[in-house]
Formats: sequence, C-alpha cells, structure tokens
Amino acid sequence: MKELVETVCKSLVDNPEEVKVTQIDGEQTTILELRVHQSDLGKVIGKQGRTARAIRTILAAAGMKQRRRFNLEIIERFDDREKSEG
Amino acid sequence: MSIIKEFCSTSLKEALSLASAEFNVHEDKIKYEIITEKTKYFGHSQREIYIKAWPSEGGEENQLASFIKELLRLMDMDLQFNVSNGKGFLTVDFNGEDYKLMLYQNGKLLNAVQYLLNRLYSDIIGKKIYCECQRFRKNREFELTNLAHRYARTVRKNGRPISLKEMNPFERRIIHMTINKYSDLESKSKGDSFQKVITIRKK
Repeated sequence: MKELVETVCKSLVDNPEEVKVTQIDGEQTTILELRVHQSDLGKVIGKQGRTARAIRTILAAAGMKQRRRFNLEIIERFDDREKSEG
Repeated sequence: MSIIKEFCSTSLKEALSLASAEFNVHEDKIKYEIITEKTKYFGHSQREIYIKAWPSEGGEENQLASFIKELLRLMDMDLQFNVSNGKGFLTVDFNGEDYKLMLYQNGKLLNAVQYLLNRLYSDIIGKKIYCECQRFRKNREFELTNLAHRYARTVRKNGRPISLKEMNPFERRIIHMTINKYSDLESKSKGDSFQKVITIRKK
C-alpha cells in the first residue's frame, strides 16, 4: 500500500525524490503519512482537495481487497512544528 | 517532440533491442531508419549496423498503459483494460473480476482513476481520457435521462419543485439537457462544491 501511494504521488509531483511515506499499523487501520516537498503540496492535494480525494478513494478500494482501512494523512510543515490535518 | 537517437550494433535486431531499452518501450513500437550497414572482414567476418531510432507516436499512450498496469498491480486488482482511440479522446475500458469494486458507490473509483489519469496524461497526449467499465457510463446516462423524465412528469402534475440528490457535473449535464426539452420546466443547480443539487420547477 505504501508503494501504491508513493508511485501515484511521485508521478504527480515535481520533486519525486522528496516523496516520503511512513506506514503506521494499527489494529484495524493503517495510517499512511505522506510528506512531500513544500512546493508540491498543492499538487498532491489539488483543487478543493480533489487529487487527495482521488488518492484516498484508490487507497480505500485497494484496502477493501485486504479487508483493512487505510488512512492517508498529508503532513504539512510549518517551521519546525509539525501540524497534521485531520 | 520525439527524440531521435543513434544506435550501433552487430545486427538490426540487437540495435532495436538497444533502442527499446533506451526508450523504455516495446521493440514493436520503435521506428527506425538504417544509416549505414557495413560488413568487416578482419580475421572473422563481422557486420556493423548504424540505425536512427525513435519511439513511435504511440509512445505516450504506452506510458499511460504501463502506468495503469502498475497501478492495478499495486492495488492488487484483478482487472484488464483496453485503450482505444476516439475522436478527441482516449477510452480506457476496464474489464475483469473486480469490476464491482471499480463501480461501487456510483463509480467512485472509476471517477477517481479517470481524474488521476487526466491529471497525469491528458496534457502529454493532448486528449481527454475517458474511463469506462462494463458500459457503466452509457447505462448511467440512460438511467439519468429516465429519472429526469420521471421527475419532470411529477413536477408538471403537482406543480411543486423537486430537488434531486447531489450529483457531479457529468450527471448534472444529462439532467439539465433532458429538462431543457420541456418548455414549461426549468432546472437549477445549487451549491458551491463539486457536487451540486439540482432543483426542477415550473417556470
């Protein structure tokens, strides 16, 4: 699943080498944290979050086959403080 | 916009495989021109061939196809697809075991994949990409036209406006077009997100 998000995001952004996905496994859900270059944030989110929603839909469908929930979190960085959107 | 490169090898076949490795496309999709062909006799006979090669015009479509293949593999989906060229657009038709997943919640995944493919490739190819699965879009169009006719009759009879559930632009377009055929009825979209609600009322 990690690979799926990485492949899709790398094809979307200008700085593919800075795409990083960390996987946090829970009991029923897996959280995937996506970090991209600051200037690529808009590319993975898209107009009104459309790209982000499309990636989440693809992730949800792939998760159905594995009977597992996947949660994609796009991490935005402000200075050194990390803030994640819910 | 195609890149032309020169390759040199001992046989045409080998030169083509070099080119296919360089451009990362299948050998069949490589177009070439032979520049020179020499046969040397130094001790043992050895041929030498120079070719000019470039990926054929379908190169971008191959990129698209290999991306979809990779996507389906990573998603672990049991699906095949077929890319066909239409007038001004490309159609990607999905088929296979997992088509139900593709169409769940009114084609949510199909729409997501279509959006993503358009984001990535419609500029490169210069065409819009339509995703189709089990004639889903055709059927949906038929379904929505029927729905619009049915609601139109009810509004005419009762005189009260009716609101439909939220729809995407493609679906709304069909409803609007159907309602426009009724001269005494009008349809309006409400909302400011991607999904809007249509209201049908008497003029």
